Amino acid sequence: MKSVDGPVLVTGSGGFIGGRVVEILHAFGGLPVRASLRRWSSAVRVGRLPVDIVLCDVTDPAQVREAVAGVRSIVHCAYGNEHVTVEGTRNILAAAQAEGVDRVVHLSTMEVYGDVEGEVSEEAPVRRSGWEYRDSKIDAEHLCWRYADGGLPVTVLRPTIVYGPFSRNWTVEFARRLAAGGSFPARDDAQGTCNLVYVDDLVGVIHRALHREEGVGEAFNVNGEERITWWSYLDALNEGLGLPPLEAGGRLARRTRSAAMAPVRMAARRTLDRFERPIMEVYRTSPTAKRFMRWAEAMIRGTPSTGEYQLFRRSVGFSTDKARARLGYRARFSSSEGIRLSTSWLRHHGFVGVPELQWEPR
Amino acid sequence: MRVLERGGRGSSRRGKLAAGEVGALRIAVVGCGAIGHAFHVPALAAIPGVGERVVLVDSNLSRANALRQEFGSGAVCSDHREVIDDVDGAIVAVPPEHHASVAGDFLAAGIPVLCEKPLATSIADGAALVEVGRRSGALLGVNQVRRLFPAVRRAAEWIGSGSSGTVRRIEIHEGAPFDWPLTSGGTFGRDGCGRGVLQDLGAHALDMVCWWLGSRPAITRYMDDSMGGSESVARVEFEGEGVEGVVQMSWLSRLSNTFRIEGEDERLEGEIRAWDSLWVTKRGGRARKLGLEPAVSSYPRVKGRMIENFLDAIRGHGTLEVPAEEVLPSLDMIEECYRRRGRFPMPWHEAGKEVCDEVG
Repeated sequence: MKSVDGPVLVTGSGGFIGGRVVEILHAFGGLPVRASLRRWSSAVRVGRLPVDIVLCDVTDPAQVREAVAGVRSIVHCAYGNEHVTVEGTRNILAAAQAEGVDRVVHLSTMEVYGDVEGEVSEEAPVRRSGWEYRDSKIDAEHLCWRYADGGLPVTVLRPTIVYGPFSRNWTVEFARRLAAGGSFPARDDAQGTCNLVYVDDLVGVIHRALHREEGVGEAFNVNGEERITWWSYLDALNEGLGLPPLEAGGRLARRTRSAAMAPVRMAARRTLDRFERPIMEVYRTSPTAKRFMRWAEAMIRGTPSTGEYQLFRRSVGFSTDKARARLGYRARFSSSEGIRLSTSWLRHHGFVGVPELQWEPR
Repeated sequence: MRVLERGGRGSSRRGKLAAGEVGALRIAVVGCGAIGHAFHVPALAAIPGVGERVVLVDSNLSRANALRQEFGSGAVCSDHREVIDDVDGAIVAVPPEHHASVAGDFLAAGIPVLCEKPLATSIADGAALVEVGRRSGALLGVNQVRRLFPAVRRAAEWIGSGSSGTVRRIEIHEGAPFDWPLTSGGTFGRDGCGRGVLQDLGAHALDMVCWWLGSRPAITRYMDDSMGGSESVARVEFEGEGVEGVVQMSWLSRLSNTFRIEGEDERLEGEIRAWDSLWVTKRGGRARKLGLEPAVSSYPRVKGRMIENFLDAIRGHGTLEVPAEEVLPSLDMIEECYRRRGRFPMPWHEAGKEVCDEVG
């Protein structure tokens, strides 16, 4: 095992995974960390640690070169729209090559395989689909391989459903929906595989990839040990939050509601994309508009999307045999342990169930 | 004064007015970061005859120039010491660790100051500023803007009226994901000041507590989530003279943003940023609505009122909304909290140790 010494740059440190990478590498990984962020307001999480923090827009090559100067390795978590994901990765790789870093760990996603079913290993082909997130992650991987061919020591990780503290998609939003009595697909529509990996297990793989040469030039799936269903995850999270048992039935009614909400969801997203500033100004200044917008948001968030139905029905598993063999990976966190930690974090932060003042005028 | 005037370089007459004189004041805004951009400069710009004479001071002149262009201010300058002799008042909006030195320079020269909160980063510095102002006769106010929020103000009146009976418990919960458009990172990480949400939201909340009670309660416990940097979640527990309470703050998640004051006879509840109503409940009775001051019905109005109050006080019309000596008790509480800080149990953080054990 070759140790990568010296400072590590973590891009996307204001995000869910990047933030946890910074925390663990600093607190337990024995590496000096340079946390990179796009704006200072994103620094509140990693700012709790005495780490070096730099502002860096990854789409700006000069800023990237400055952020990379003096580091020995890079964990690239930053992503965004196609431009940010692809050009940002290109800039990181170019700066890494110029700096002569010992390792780049690039965070990709299981989504690069497309909407496949069955058992998926790293040998499976990547499939473009027209979805910006997926296609841009595939393009970013291609850039990694091009630089790897040029001698840059790059490792690509393809995590599955990463959950845990600060996970907006799979922890906070689900918990909020559960606490609000929001609707999910019925049990029979949620029997697909939920490939959960607790965020700390992913960071453990990143830590190993920084230290093990066996990972250089390779892509690895990063998944948890268990193959539970989406319903099992929701049920366990619900129980962990101490909420009343989930209603399993009402399949037809839920599907109908989801289908009816689809055009509303699309119209709301397009309107917000186009008129975000004036809408937020109205939100801030008009109590009536604020109440309506909150109600509409709750309705939309509380209704499963058609995409969620597809995801919850999909039967797919992502093999971690390669990560086990080459990187010595094994998941440390069972789903029950990950959910226990997540729900204690959710309560601490008042997302659900904190015994704080809840004021509803009557 | 070596400032860049609108339309060219040059100096202008000193704008100092005698007490009671009506005329166009020249105000310096020192610090052109987020609070200057969001609060002070637009509020001054809305006052005819004042906005166009404002001098913007920032060591980063491009930032000052950007604000001048946006709000039509009068001049820019990179060093506050160069404008001391030419202004009638100064608004100090630099990072908190520089409040004492910058505000002190103006006060020592007899120039009135409206200082951003917190007044200073230590009770010693805060008290020293008050003393400098007292000696020179210069006014020193603090932008504790929550005191102008109708709900917070009404709560103070309600307690003062005595209708609640003796206050027994106070709770304040304030928090939202942090999105303040900071222009520098002096708060965070290795090179940061090590003070986060307590110094930010806590400066308001603890001032509310001290203002409402008219005294400084004792800290019974303080915990936050700092791991060597600046805290993002904090909880203060306090008690004193028959009252106990808790203030909970977060930059990481949305809390209820409410307060509750329990009196012996009545309970007052409401949102901190409520503009129209609060709710009072008599012991054993039903909640009834308490109307709020209609003149202040939005955040821009609050800003305008704070700035107008400062200008009126300079002119000798009325007193400052928040004289600096009134915030010293809350400053003292903040300092004690940081001195006694303990960390929340955070098992979700400690769990990360496991994944690094076999490597490295």
